[in-house]
Amino acid sequence: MKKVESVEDVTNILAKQGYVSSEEISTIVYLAIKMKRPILVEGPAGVGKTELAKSLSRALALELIQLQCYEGLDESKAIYEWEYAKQLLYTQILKEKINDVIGDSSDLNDSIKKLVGLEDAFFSDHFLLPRPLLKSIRSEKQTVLLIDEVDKSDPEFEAYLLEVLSSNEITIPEIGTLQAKEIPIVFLTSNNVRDLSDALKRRCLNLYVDFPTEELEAQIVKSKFPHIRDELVDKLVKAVHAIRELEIKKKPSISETIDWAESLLTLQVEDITPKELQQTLGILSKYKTDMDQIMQNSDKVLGAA
Amino acid sequence: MVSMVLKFAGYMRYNGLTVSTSALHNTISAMQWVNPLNRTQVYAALESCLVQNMTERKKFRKIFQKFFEEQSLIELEHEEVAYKMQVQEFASQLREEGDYVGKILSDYMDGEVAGLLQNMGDNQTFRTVYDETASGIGMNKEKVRADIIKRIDRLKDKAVDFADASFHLSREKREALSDYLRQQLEDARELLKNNPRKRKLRNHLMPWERQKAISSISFDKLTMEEQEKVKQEVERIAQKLKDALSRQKKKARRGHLDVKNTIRHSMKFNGIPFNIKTRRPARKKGKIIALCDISMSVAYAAQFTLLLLYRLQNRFSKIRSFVFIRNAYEISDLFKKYPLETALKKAIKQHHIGMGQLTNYGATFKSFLTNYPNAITRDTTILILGDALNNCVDPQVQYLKEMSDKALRTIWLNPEEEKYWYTTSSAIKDYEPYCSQVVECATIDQLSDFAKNLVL
Ligand SMILES: Nc1ncnc2c1ncn2[C@@H]1O[C@H](COP(=O)(O)OP(=O)(O)OP(=O)(O)O)[C@@H](O)[C@H]1O
Ligand SMILES: [Mg+2]
Repeated sequence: MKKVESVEDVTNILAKQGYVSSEEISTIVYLAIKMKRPILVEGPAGVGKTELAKSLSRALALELIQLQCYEGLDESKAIYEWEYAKQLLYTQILKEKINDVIGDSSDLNDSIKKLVGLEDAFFSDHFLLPRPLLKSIRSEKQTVLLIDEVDKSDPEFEAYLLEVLSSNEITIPEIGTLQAKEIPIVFLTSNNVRDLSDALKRRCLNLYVDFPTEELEAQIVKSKFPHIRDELVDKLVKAVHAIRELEIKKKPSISETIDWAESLLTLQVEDITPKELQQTLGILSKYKTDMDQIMQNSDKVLGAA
Repeated sequence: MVSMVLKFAGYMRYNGLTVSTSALHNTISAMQWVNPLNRTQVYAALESCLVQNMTERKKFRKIFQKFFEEQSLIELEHEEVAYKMQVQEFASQLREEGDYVGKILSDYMDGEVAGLLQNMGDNQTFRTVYDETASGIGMNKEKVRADIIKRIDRLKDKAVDFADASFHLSREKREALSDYLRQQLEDARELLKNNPRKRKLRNHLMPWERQKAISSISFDKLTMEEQEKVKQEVERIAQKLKDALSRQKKKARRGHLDVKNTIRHSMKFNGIPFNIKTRRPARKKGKIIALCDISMSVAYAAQFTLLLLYRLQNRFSKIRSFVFIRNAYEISDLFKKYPLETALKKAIKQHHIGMGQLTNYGATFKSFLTNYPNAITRDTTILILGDALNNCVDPQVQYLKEMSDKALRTIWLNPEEEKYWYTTSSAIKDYEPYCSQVVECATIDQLSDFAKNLVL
């Protein structure tokens, strides 16, 4: 892992990965690294919650392990599973060898002892299929563990997660307790589909990522398209911010800003007028009603006033 | 730095936000990593540890801004453990002096500024949660404030002596300690001198205390608004319990191997059990018979308990509820038809439960046995909710015994605080031998504990 010794370091290494971070975000990421605590990232869709974790893992040259949550996600998908088919296959092979194993046993008791000895072999690492959580705990090197959209998982899973995150260990009944060798840098993201438990929130550093300031968003666009003209960036970002102020169903996110910038560049637009806006409207919004809203307010959006 | 965090936390509480101790600890350790002169970093660190709820962010921002306008954060010593312990030691020595002003100040040195903040502000006659110690009534706030200030001035000298005598600290640290304690006291003095603040709510409890205390206020002292809050709280508890239950169920589901079923399915694969079948263990659900005293003294408590029970009703095979004053009267049907308050109101309207009469527990149990002879079975949990204030009539324990003998268990929930149970007017001591358990259930916290034990 690369060394980070200040909040500024965090900002810098993230910038190298194309992630434009605010001082708030960098501070909390820095705290998470130093305090070895998970970060719970909340905020509207498309503000770069997932991207933050990904960029950080690249920036620190750490493996990214991602666990995508959904309703019904359970231990066998999140933690580990026994490779049942593999176990069976081995049983089948063993069947033919069984006589060799118990061959010289004098009585039944003796044979059973020998067979029981084999049982441990069946529930060993060899047949264990680690899923993201276990992978991250067992890893020799520190990892970045991204638990994405944790609010979509069930409360039971959340409770389990809390246990793992507070103890940094996982217990597998057949094997024992595995303690993390290197505590991973954990990101949990949430879109607030449901409220997470207080206990989990207390365990985490809470980071609320909102839509960026105009200044920051302009930087993001510039970092993606280094040759874009400043005036265009300025106008485009102002327009997006104005649109976010409108009463619309879905506010355009950073990815929409980026896509918009790209298409404006492709169209080699000099200036954004209502005509260009109309042309590219589909990128900014997916809803007919929202599009209408935007066009009706094109004056405000394009700062013509 | 620690003092700044403590002060800030106090200020947050003063403004009605909750700050848990664990959050406070996090904050203190987080602050070691940020540049204390950088507003943005300090803000981000504080917010990430102290704001657990997105909806509180706006308020937090306001509070932060106000706080840092009022005081700048210059003092930044890196206290170590020993040093911190000395600060605590100072506070506890102060506390040992035992008087009212000492208590406020020792709390303050410990980071609990509530007592102190109460003494800033308007000139009303002094009435606070500290009433008892202050022997309250008639005590003038101005006077208290003057007392505190006088004491503070004396304490400053004492703080210097104390720091000088902390021999296990290095000289440097001793001086820092002395400065710190003096600074703290000076801050307190400043706070008292010029900070008149208006407060809105009832004056015997402060806003932040109310928020914290709502779950420990006795049911019968709640205002309408608080009742609404408590109801929300009940919903929250119910949800938590349900979560816990479904967690438990999920674990159980992985449970037992169903041998027969597994073998049957393995036929397809030449006898190899490719599909393991498991069986969910049958979960035993019990019956609940709830008997609630709805005389004025316990009506509130009854209301909340019933509310919670019904929120959890699918956990039981059946809940039958009865209300009584001197006759038990079944209201299960009313609950099916009406929302809870309406159901209770309707129940009370039925004259024959004995509204307006004195509660009579013996008569109630007797009537229950006569009118519902088959209600109690071996898997029944009887819940009795009442204060057992039997108005000095014969408790007729034989009827409760008879009920209790038929049931799985009998739990008595008493909304009266335990210290009153053994007074003469309470018959709880007579009934206790026939109950599996008698629990104090005067607050939401206690109710929650009880419900947890009941269903888990
Ligand atoms: N600060 C940033 N710097 C650079 N690019 C960014 C930044 N924030 C967002 N982006 C861009 O926006 C896109 C969307 O971000 P991302 O998928 O991380 O959003 P999200 O918050 O995880 O959304 P969702 O809630 O829908 O999962 C990313 O692909 C990234 O290119
Ligand atoms: Mg995402």
